[in-house]
Amino acid sequence: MDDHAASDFRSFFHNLGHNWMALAGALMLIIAILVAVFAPWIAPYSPKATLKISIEDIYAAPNSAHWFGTDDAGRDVLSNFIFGARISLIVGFFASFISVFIGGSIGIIAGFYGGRVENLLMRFTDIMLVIPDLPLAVVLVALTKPSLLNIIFVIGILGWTGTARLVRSQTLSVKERKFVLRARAIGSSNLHIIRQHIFPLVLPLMVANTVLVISLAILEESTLSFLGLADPTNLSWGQMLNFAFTRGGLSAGAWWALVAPGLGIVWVVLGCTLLGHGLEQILNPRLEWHHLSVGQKMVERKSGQMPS
Amino acid sequence: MKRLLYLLNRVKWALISIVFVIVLNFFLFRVLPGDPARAGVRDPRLTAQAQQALRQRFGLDKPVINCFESLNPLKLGGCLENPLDTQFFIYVGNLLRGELGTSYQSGRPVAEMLGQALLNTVLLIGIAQIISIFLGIVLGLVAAWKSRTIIDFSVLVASLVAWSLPTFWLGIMLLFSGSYWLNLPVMGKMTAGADFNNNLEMFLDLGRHLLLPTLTFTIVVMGEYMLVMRSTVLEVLSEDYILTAKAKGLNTFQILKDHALRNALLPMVTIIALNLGFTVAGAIQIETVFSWPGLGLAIFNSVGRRDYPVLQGAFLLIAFSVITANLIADLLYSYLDPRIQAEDNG
Amino acid sequence: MLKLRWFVAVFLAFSMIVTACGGAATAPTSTKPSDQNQPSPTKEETKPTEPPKPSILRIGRAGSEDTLNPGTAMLSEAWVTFELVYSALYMQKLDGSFTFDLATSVSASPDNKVLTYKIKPGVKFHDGVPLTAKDVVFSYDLYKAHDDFPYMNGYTKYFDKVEAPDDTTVVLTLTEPIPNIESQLGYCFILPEHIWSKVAEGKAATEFQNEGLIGSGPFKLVEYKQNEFTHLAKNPDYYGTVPKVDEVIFQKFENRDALVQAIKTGQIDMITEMPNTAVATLKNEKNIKLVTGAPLAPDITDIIFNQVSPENCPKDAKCAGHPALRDRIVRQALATATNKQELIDIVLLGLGAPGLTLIADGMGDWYNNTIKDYPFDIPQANKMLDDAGYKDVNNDGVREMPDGQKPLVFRLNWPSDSTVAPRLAELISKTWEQIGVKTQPQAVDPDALTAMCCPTFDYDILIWGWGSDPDPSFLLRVMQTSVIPDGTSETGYSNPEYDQLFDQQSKEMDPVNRKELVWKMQEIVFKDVVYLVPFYSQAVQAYRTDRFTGWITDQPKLALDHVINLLAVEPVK
Repeated sequence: MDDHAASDFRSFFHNLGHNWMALAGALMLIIAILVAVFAPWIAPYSPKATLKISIEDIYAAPNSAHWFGTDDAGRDVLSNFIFGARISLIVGFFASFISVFIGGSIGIIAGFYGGRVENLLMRFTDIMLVIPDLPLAVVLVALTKPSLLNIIFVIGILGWTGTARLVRSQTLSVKERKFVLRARAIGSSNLHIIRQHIFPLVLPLMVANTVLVISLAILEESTLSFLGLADPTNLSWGQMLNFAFTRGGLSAGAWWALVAPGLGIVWVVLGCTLLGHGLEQILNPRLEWHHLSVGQKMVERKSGQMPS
Repeated sequence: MKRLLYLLNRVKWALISIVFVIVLNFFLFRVLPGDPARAGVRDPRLTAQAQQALRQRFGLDKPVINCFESLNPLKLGGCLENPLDTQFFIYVGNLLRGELGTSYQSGRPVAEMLGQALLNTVLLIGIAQIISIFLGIVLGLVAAWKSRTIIDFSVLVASLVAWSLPTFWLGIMLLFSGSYWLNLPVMGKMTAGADFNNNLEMFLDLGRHLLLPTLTFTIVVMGEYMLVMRSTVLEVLSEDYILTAKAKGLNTFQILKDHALRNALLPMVTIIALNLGFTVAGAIQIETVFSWPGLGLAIFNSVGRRDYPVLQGAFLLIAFSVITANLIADLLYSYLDPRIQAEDNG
Repeated sequence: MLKLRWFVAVFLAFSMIVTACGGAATAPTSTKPSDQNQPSPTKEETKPTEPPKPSILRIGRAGSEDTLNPGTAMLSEAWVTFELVYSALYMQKLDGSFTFDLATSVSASPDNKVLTYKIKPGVKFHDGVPLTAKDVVFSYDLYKAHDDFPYMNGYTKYFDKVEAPDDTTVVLTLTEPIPNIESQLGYCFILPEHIWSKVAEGKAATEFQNEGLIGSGPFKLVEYKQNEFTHLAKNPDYYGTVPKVDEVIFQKFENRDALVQAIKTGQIDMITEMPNTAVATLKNEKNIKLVTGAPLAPDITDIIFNQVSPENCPKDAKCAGHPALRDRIVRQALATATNKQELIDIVLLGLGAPGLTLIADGMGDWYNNTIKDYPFDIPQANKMLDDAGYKDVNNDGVREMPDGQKPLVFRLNWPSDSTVAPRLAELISKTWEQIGVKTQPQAVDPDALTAMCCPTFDYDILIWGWGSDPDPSFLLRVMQTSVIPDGTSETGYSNPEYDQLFDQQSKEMDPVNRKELVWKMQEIVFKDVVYLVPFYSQAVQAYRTDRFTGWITDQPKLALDHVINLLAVEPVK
């Protein structure tokens, strides 16, 4: 059993190296994370610094003092952009962890125990799947205090459905494998089976799925911030776009205030998407095709080689 | 008979979803009832009595539901009073009659306000969906056919990038380049108050207003369809019967059309249905940026104005539409794929 | 299989087209009153000569009417439309004074409680029905009967009864003499009895959508699509100056940048507002003229200090404000440590003037322009606090109360839907740090803000705002002691001298005397720093010079969408 899992991991990393999408995506993400982590050292101005601001500093075009120009408060767009990566990534990661945790738990429990438990959980998932995400998120965030935690929480508890379906179908297929049946015959407890056998085989898929869920969470955070529902003191990229859009950035011709944060979002989301799709491709042979378990954003494909 | 059971089962779950949404909708908005007598900038002419009268007008002085006079702040009481005279049952009763309440701000029936908005959103989304489905299918087909070539690669990258663009950001970029260079309209569905000499002129005006929002929508949504189509066609093309067909002498185009396309359609239907939630999210963003008078904009505006009846009604309508569309997709799917009835265990 | 796909596609396409047709041509929620006098050109296919195209003035704005019912409307855009479509006894001019509109003369009884108005004869409503004094009586009675009409409640509070002895005479009896009766009557629009009598009772009046909008004003309604546009046309039978433009369309834009874009590309002829950041770019546009001035109905942004005393604390209220703010010296020090010019420069991009009290500079004569503002002086502010005993005993940069206990840390809150407040909060927090005062800034949901403000008084400092009214009484009202318990008073300020002056001015009939009283009241609340008003923002509007001309921009107030302007403009030849 362990050999099986171990060799899976080894060939996984082997395939990873050959897959351009996964590599490119990983690289993009790593750059973004590094920028976020080392923000205080990279950014030319500190966001907490008290700057002497005059009228000319408002929406100033890119110049030698401000490479990306300034925003509606006269602050350096480049510095805000660098620090904005932090908020966007933090929200993306934490919200998606919540989603994957919920979705993974539901999926494993449903897939493993089957029967009425599975039925109930999957029907609940179906209902949540059908309720449109963004309007509900808009309503929830609008009704509660605008804060970072709220946004993370709301995005997290709304984004688990795809993961749940995916993990459930994968659990279903793994459940029938010989070593699981053997473990049952020996008399291992359910929890033990789940932890030792099911989970390691479901994990790679969940990782690939997590990456895609992160991209969705970042997109959703930027949308909610853009719509003005986030805490304006946290300058995420979405919030920067909200300020630029609602505070006359376009009519001031301040394209820099609009392009930079948008490109930041695209970079990170694209990185996650590439990595996620690349991982998907690698894991492809291990997936069972079940035409009802098509995930919300990720498609499971029939096992088979791609035609040369 | 099996199919009928399947259909009934699907309808049953759609109804359960709807009930769930209704209850959720109600309590969501009663936890923070919102004050119709309030505005961002307060008005010195609004006396305290007038505020109270406003609250009464919107029935906010009634208890929320049995035993709970209000949910925020949590106040108990009134368990023994007439249960039907609570906000909850009044709300459900109204819903059954097709009444979605009265807007706090305009005093108009919400259903009336949102009726036209719904049509506008359907128009926008509908056209964009059709175009992106069509393009997605064609491009995905071509990419899969020409897999591992530069065409495949560029289609793949293009669709991934398109999918990564925030909808609202793309909208802003297109809005201002379009209005600046092509003098396209900046907002709305049609030129306000214009008299058109004939239907053609009207269509042209509508078309000009539709162009940028539809383009934005298509770019963002098309990417996903391309990806799915591509991967499905890839699988299909790896099947044995394709080899057989080729050996029989059918040309590539025929094979693609008669076999690849047909079989790739099933997952597409599912994806389109599942994508409806995403479509709605995109609609909110696009309608906000382009001031398109649809449901998404209604949601956005009513949030800003704390016009909770409108917000509630719009949310309900959107949820209903998505549930209904999913149901239709399910039924369509079952019609297309005879395997499905055996699989599903209601 | 393929056939099915084509069928589905065709069906969807067909339904889209049907929707488009249905949506465009016969919009169910837009209203076209079936009237006879449509001034738009006829659309027959065979016509030998084309009639001249009507001149259409397109105005862009970022808001729109909330409803067309004058009783229930609350947004200023609705009132702009009402002033164009309805008549009233008085009309406001751009210098803030009032002149006769429908009325031709007035005579008052010696005790000023009975006012007899003569109104113009031969006036007709837009549907041809004559307007008589009976319609005036009906309208005033309607307004007074409905305390669920938010604003009319206040305007008709002192009406005792109103009668129409004949078709052109209105006799209004007040419960007490009112000095500012013109400004209130100016908003009591005359409604057609023959239409409104059916909906005059109870809920019918508040639910009535009034989408026909039949009035007697210089413009009449052609089409109304809520939150989209309002389409008016001139009333050729108007009793006053007939407008020179044929049609006016107010278009709502979801964001103000789109307004700027629209006027630049010529889709709009005039905009009533714009983001201040667009001023620099629009100034250089060839065919666009930018104008700034005092707004007609100024919105005031204010900084509110919780100064309610324990004696005045209403029952069940929390009254949990910071005790330091009850000390006038602390408030004066904070005012001295506020750099109003910097706030104007950064928040308004220079388009404003330093604020004094709630009575803005755009209020004309009511504004006390002799008050000297607190100069921005950090050392002076520090000295004031030092002398008053607020020292920093533990050297952490923050002062403590004279007893050395509670530090001067103030909660600073504002409504989360305000665009101006966050920037304001940031800037004043920074400067106040220099005098040893710390803030805890936090945006709060507007409903939650109301809950913590008044009459709960559970806050320290708020940034909020007021709309206004031409008469100063409405804003001065909020600083009285008597309105603390009902939630109207935000500050909890209580000054018997002020209360007395308020009562006096509300009865003072002589405008000169009344002005003196109002000026004295402003002095008092300025010295007591009841509110800290950072600035009065200017109105910024723009119009295209190649479309319409005749805009009035030399008056004390700027309002290009005001009825006076729309009566004066005409197409450029």
